[in-house]
Amino acid sequence: MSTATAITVTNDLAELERLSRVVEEFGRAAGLSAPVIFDLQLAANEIVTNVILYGYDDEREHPIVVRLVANAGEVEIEVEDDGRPFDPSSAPAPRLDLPLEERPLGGLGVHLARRVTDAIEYRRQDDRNILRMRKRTA
Amino acid sequence: MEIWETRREEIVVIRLSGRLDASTAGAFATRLRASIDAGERRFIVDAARLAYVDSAGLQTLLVAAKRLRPLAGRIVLSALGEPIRRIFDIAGLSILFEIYPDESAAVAALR
Repeated sequence: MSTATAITVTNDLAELERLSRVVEEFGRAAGLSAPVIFDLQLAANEIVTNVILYGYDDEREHPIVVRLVANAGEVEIEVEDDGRPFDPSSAPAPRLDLPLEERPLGGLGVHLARRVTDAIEYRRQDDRNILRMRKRTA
Repeated sequence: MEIWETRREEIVVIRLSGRLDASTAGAFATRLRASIDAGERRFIVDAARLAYVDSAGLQTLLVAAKRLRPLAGRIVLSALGEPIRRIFDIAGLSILFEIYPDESAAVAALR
């Protein structure tokens, strides 16, 4: 049996709370554990935050679609946006061994999203970024 | 997210509850910046009631720590729940920050 949901948010950071709520409701409906739901919220939040903060060259409202599907043993999260091309799957990992003074502030979001999921695939299609993340749940 | 600020002697204690993400980190950053501007140098961020943190929250802590270092200031953390602690570990922040089991232990360390 599979559980699926989709939510469209706009490029406004205030939407993050609603996004997290939808991910939580989805996770509960799919019978996922609290740690898995936390990771899904984090992955979705980080990718959507990046799109909102860095994805657009204008001040207009843009839709960002997040789709969630839970199948046996695996959850898939897909984030689709019409922002500028950006492939998080090829972003370099931040240096985490540097001392405080040299530690970079950027790059942590994509790093976290990659680390709490098991696979991440990017494609650019019809002027849209489509990022698909998979997480094993069993 | 709610931010409660109290003081224990020369130490500013900031208790966070709820969700520290990109939509709420700004308020936390503003609070920290204002306190450092006002001359405060010792901080405890207590996460006992923090349910969620992401990179935006971690960046806020990094910015404050970077600023306090040359001022001989310190910012330490207390009461990180298991999910929060895991995010600190994955982001490589556990090796940068002193993390205490509870607020009292953090106060004792900063005295």
